[in-house]
Amino acid sequence: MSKINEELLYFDVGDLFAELNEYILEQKAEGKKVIAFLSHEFLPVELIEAAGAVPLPLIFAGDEDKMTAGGDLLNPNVCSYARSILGYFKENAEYGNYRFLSKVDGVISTNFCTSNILIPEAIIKNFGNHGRDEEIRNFEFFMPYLQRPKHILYYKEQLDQLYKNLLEFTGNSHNPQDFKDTIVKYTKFKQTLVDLYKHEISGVDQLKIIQKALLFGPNYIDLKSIEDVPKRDFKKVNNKVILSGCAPFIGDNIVELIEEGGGNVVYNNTWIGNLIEYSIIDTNKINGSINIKEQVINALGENFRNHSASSHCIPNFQDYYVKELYKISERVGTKAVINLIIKFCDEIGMERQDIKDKAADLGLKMLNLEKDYSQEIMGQLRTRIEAFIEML
Amino acid sequence: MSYMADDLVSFKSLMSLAVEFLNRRAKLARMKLREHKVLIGTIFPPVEMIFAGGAYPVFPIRMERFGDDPFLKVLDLASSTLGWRNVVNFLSFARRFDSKDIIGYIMDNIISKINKEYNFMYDLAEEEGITTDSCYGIKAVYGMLAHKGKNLDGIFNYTIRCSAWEKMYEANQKFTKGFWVDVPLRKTEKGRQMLLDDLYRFSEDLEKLTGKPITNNSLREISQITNECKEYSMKIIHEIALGDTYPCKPTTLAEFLSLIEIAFEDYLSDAKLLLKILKGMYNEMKERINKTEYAVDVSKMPKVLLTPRFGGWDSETHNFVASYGGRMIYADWEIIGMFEKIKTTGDMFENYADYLMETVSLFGVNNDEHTDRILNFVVNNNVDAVIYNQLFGCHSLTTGYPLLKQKLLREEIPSTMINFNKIGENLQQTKTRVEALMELI
Repeated sequence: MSKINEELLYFDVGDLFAELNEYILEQKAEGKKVIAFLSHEFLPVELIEAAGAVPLPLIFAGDEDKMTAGGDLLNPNVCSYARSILGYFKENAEYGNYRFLSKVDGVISTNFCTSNILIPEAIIKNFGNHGRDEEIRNFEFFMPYLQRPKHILYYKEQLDQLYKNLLEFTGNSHNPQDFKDTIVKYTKFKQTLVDLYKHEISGVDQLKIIQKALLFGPNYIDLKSIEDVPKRDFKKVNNKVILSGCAPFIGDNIVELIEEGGGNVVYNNTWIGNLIEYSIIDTNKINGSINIKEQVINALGENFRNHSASSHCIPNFQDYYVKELYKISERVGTKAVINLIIKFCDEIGMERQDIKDKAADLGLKMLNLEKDYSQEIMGQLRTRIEAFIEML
Repeated sequence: MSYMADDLVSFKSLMSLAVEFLNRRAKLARMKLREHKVLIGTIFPPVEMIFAGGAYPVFPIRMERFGDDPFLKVLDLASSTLGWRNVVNFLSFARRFDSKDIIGYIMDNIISKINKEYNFMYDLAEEEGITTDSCYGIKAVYGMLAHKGKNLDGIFNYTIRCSAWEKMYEANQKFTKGFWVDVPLRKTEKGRQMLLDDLYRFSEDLEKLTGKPITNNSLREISQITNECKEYSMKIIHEIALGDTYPCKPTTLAEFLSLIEIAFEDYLSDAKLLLKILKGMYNEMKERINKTEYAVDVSKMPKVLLTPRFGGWDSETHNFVASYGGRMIYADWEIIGMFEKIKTTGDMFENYADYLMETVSLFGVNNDEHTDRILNFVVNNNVDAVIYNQLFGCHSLTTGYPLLKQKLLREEIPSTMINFNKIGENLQQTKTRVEALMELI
């Protein structure tokens, strides 16, 4: 088992990758399987760990080279994030900069969005045999789009099947007590992350904490030292902003740009932020030691049913999403929302204008900010953000 | 210039199909306003539930006015009062005296009229605020519904692997009500139950609108008809388009195939009529193949498959292929599983659920499965080359070319990829790529 790390922040992305390389190599040395996946709120990472594997969320932003490399393997119109993930694998294959990726044993493909199907497939097709003893294994986890009762049953069936497949892959068997302990541990861990916005920490630092915590998980990160993280100076930046939409992945400097432009990201309503809330298992609903797995899956089903504001869900995502933003705005005291859209994102990008119009109807001021990971657009982004902040 | 006009005057089935497609607007308006029929929008061929529920499927673009050619109106009138055989005789006769080739002009423009409307819908969607990054298919459908969606009683939305498609349907709800059916990507017990539950709900929703319940018999009856439609389309593809003798020039046959595919999007709101047209078309083709004055030997012309096309494609491509001595094959509905038959014994709701799951599965849950479908079609039918139609803005269904290319190379089948953004755009690049491909064959 790795040592518990009290360093919640990281200095730069290079350091983080170096630490991740070390961590994954340690886990592999212990004989564990590494399961990679594109992160979203409906894929419970707890099940991966409960099956005895190491969850590796692929939550990395890219750059021009990575986007191009990914585009060559699929299509240049696939979202910048998804293409970048392929780019990381390609660079790893060619130069070994991201050694942890060569340790991936399995990937989970989901239908959260199309990229969640295509990227795992492209990883296996293009890098599945690269310097490995065994080909990377694909685990399919397909969710419904609607949230009617029969759809929840289907979602639960898929959760159960995923867990069984992971257990079969790791060679472990289900242990109710260990399973319960893992769930309780993650619930506490995630709840601390969800409550992070209540601490007066800058948006940049909050994001770094969440990114690192999601990447390494509760076995490695000790969130007790949150209190030691320096507080933000509200005198310097007082234009509160909610960040929503696509996630600011590791290496994406969008929150820095907002805060340098005079904004103050007080709430991060993304997958790498407070949407984690919808993946928290309510441990109050888990009683005794019988049928723990079924109870957990039922709780996850409830989460799915209750999260109509997820960009995956239909048919009224727009309405729920905007209402959710309104509630958040009341809670944190700002009407300003930056809706981050990663270039070619279906889920957030497709309905951007309707979302903005509906947000305006509720008195929210929304900036739809579309970006990829190229450096060329930085100047333009900065100008748009500054103009938006000045209007507040 | 299309070669279509020369052949068309003696092809009453194609005339019928073209007129039914282009002049359906007035009929749809009458159905809606005078007869108070229930019109349900559809984009993909599974329409059986709608018919069985006493409603009428409508591919929304068919509510548009396709120009004001007086000749089309005359043709429509003549077809209803004189009968098709007389119309054909009339057209043959009229053409001899028509130095301006008005018949050729009209028929040559059938596809271009449709294309023009598609492009109009594309522009309209952008004006209505849909993201410019969306693919052509999404913009076209969005535009169609923005323009005429209010005339529909709803639209049948069933989920596929493309998340942008799902979001497009969601956004369309401001134009018309959505009837949602969630189809699982893989066949599982709970997935099937979920789908069945959605189908029952859809059935109840339709009954509220039409007053007619969907019964096992009504669903069976329409499924038997649509199965037959699929069968005749498959015969036209396999016995005619993939054969060595054509009943017409290759570009005309390509236009046949593309019109048939469009017709399948709503079965022309009249499945019996479509079946009659397809039967007639198949029989006419067979007859002409046996007549030396019509038969065209295409055995030496390489067969080129253009796919995927259902999200938008440029019909000029088949002219490019023809100009280099090839013949174009269109078979998207078959490749993506839409021509699978619906089982007609036992519980029809369950059969229909199985059919929908099969189509979604054959669509290709991932690129490997999708490109396997293309490869199998190519190999099994001795297709000589493939043009892969990659849509700008497509994040899902046209992302498979790198994988397909590898698979085709293993079979020593040449291929190329063309970029499609909008009809009429990028033609020079398309021509260059087609030329390079044809030189390889």
